[in-house]
Amino acid sequence: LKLPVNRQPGNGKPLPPESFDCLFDQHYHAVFKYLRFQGLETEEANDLASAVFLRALDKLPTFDPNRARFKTWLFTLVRNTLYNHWRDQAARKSLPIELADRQSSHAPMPEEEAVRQEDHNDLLKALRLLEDREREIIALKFSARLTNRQIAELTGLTDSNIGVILFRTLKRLKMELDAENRHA
Amino acid sequence: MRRIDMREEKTIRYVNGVIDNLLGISPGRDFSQATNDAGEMDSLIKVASILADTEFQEETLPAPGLRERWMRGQADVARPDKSNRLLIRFAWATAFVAIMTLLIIFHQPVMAAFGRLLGYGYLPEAGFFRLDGTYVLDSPVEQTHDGNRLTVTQGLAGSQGTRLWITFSTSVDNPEAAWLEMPDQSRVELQGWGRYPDQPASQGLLLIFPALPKGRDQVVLAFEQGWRLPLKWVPAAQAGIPSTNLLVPYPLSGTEESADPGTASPDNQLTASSRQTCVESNALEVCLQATYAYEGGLELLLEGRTLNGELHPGGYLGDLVGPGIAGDDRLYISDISGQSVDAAGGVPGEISQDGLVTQTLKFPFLLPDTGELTLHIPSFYAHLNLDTSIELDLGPDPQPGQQLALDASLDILGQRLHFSQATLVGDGSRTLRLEMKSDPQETGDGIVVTMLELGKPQGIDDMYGSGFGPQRQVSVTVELLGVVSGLKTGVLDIPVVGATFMLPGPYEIPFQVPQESPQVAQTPVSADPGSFEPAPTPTPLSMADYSFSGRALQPGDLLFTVVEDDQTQLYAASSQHDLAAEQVAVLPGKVYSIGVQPDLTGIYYLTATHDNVHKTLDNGQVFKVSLDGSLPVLLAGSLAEDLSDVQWSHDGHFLALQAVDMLSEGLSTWLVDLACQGADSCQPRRLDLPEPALWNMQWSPVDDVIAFSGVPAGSKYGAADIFVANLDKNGNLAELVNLTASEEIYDMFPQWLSDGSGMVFVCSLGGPDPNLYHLCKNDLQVGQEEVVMQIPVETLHQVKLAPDNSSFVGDIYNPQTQTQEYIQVFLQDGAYRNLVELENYSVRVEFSSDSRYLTIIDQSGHDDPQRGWVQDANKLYIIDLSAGENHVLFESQSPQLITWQGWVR
Repeated sequence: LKLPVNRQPGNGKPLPPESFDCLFDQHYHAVFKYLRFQGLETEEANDLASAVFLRALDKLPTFDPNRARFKTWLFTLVRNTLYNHWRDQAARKSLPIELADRQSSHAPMPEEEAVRQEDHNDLLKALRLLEDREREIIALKFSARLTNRQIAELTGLTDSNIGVILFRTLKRLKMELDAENRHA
Repeated sequence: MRRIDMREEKTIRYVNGVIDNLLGISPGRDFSQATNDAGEMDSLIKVASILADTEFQEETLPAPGLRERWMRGQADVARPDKSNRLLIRFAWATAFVAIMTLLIIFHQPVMAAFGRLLGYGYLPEAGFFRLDGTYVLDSPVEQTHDGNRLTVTQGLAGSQGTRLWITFSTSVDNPEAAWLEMPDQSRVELQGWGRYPDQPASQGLLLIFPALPKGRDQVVLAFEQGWRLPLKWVPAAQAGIPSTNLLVPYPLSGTEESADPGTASPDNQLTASSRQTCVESNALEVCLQATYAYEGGLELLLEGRTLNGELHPGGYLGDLVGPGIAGDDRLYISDISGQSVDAAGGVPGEISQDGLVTQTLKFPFLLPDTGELTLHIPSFYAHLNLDTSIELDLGPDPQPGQQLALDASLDILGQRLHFSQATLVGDGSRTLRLEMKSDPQETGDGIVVTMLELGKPQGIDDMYGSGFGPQRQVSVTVELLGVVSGLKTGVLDIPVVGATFMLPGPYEIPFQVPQESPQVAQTPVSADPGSFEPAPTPTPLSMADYSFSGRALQPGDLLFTVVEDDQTQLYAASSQHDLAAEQVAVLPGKVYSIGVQPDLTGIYYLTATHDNVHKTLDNGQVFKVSLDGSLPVLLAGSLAEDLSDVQWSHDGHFLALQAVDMLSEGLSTWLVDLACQGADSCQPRRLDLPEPALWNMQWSPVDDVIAFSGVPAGSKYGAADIFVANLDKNGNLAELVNLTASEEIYDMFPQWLSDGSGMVFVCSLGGPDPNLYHLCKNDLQVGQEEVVMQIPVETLHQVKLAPDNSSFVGDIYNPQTQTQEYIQVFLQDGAYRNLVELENYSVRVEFSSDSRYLTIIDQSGHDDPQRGWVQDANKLYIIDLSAGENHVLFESQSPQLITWQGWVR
């Protein structure tokens, strides 16, 4: 297994243009995972993730790498988009038209895919039992891989608050997952 | 001020450190196991690993052409558009006029009110704080010693506590060894500390002390290391704190209003004026209380208060500002031209003793020249106490999947919360949860309930709660199958004691562009370098009380120590004498560990003081004594503080120590050469291990080799491996080998085989069930471990191998009986049996060398808010494994306490 790589783009420095080549690949999955952790179903999460990136594309000229880290900036957009979505369930209708004709590729699941899906379901089910803020922090931490400081910037909490909430939420998740495992 | 629970803080920091490592956010960061709850920590880290490893790549399907469009957009990135930024200018005149106007309008009859009129001060380290009753340092203070420098950069003292911010040029050995010394030499001890800024390599600390006694405006900050910095406190209102551009004077409480009814109520006047920067909703008033502007940023202080005593400001975690429900959900400020900037963050709300809730909002932007800005707030959080309940009938035999119809409604300030159905979820044998969601709430102009505060339902354990989900539904969950309470049947009454809700806006508060407050760097006052006073080295113990009974040590003896006051009784018990306790010696000092010399002619022992809060040992000293009547000899007297583990090598050549390193939050490992001849050679040397996170030291029974559990630096998964440190004859590290090197798989708690040819350890196998533990074996070949057996009890993690290698023991907690059960597992067939149930906390589990007996110290004690965990009594259990019987060999009550036990090989 590879050792972890710090994928923090730029680290506050201006990004070389080629960085954006991999930014999309890196962050689309992260955004999608965040949305799935937040309780969205696959199709819904894809729709919203695509909408986020289209919105990010529009706003890219205003992004100043000297003022914000890209990931924090991107996840500000993600959160806003998600909250808008929740606020108005009709938001899906207003997604850009090019999303509407996207063909579904949800092929029948082979057996191992079904097992993986079941594991995902257990986790997602446990996540749904969390308080909103707990789930938000877990989603930001494990999908965006943000530091506690970055999550604090996004959520308006302090670093140490994030640490405490994260710790206690893991405890709760452990309990929920244990219950699921026993059930299984 | 909330007292920092250092034990929990360490645990939280540890788990967070592992998570960051696991996510690759801070690979290689120094962290270590600084907790006794290794099993629990590992289980949490496993959950974190699952979260980190869960990927949805098969599901992701970006919109067609999106990636290509993204690529085309890249060129725009390096051109930040500054057109929408507001420009920086000064507003001296505006601020001056505003303050003068307020002074005229809110003329106070007494000067005391002037302090309150000032409202809030601001310090970059602390944020906003009330000026009234708060003291700050007159100036920074620094001291230099041996080229090192310690500076107290700022301080804040009030009725709720004292905070000091310090920076240091090299390091402070132990930030916990700090205190404030009063003029009468009395001490105010440290309550807690943290890094400032909160980063691993930070060269600064925040020290937290209790409130200072009244009138003590001159104190000394002292460290055990020797630093002594005199601090002078002055009232914050007189200290030249940069202006917070007061907007609304500090609101006076109703009590003070009524204190002088003859005086025109200043509060009435305040209310009239505060309408300019206050908004009111449902008997809740929120005021923009103060602003602080600095280069590139603006902070706003909001303060909420109740107007009717029933509706209270603040919601979950005390936050005042909430998200939007309908319409514009942005939290932002705008100028008159319509340009706007969103809030970039803030700090959580704080509830003061008088019920006010304050929250700071941060806007990283440049200020315009002059004029008016408007703060736009999507909603406010508030809460209300309720006294009602939701009742439903579970029936005599609730089953998973069952749907229960109900018609429960709660009316909360006009918002109807209706529950029409509940579902029972779970397997019905281990868990059965009642889950119900309210119907989606109407938004309209009313409130939106975000959470119900539930009381504990009758017949339920502690698992119940409420949450908020999409479509504005409030959820309620209750676990019906409790470990203690059993299955809840019949009528379930869920008390509802309160509700948290949003008061949807948007709200707008106009305010004047504040004046930028320049950051003024004060020159520190130099403290007298000559006043550097290291704490005196502990005086060697007097040997006057030493005595030797003449009882020689024999192979197979059980030894144990009983501490009383400042001396220790060493007892021996032999199976040849019915295990009757016989006194061997009286040792001066409190002895916490003993090493027997291989020829049994003498012993080494460690004296120390026990830190009840951290469960570590301080002031350690190592002695050697020949059991021939001669006096003990001090070998080493300057051991590291906060010792967490003490292990003697097989031949009595070395003593290995591990100490909690407060600053790195890791463990440092030290070695004492017990064959030392002179004072210098006896001093402990730090073993420079290249891996920072190693614990569970275990000496080889035949060699100078130490095995550890440890998490490799940069580990993605935070999974522990087994490490082996090979030492040369002088105790220097020859090499450190990661024996298991299994990135995703947990390997913990190494136990040497009796011939030293290898070791067994607890291991997971990876795969779908990370909770399934096995016993693995490795013959000191890297990566060549084999699975011996599956550990039959899921929660049995920490094991002790019998010297005959035929079985191991470990303990599990039984929540039903609330006891700790010791279990013996036989390697041959995996069969196991219960040995003993202990009611308390057990320490030091030891086998006799013939594997016939197992001895355990069972400690009982209590948590003392001031002194930490205090032992009350303890028992030394001996279990005859061949007969399957156990009994208490020795029992003691405070102040007599058994501190150590072990068998002579």
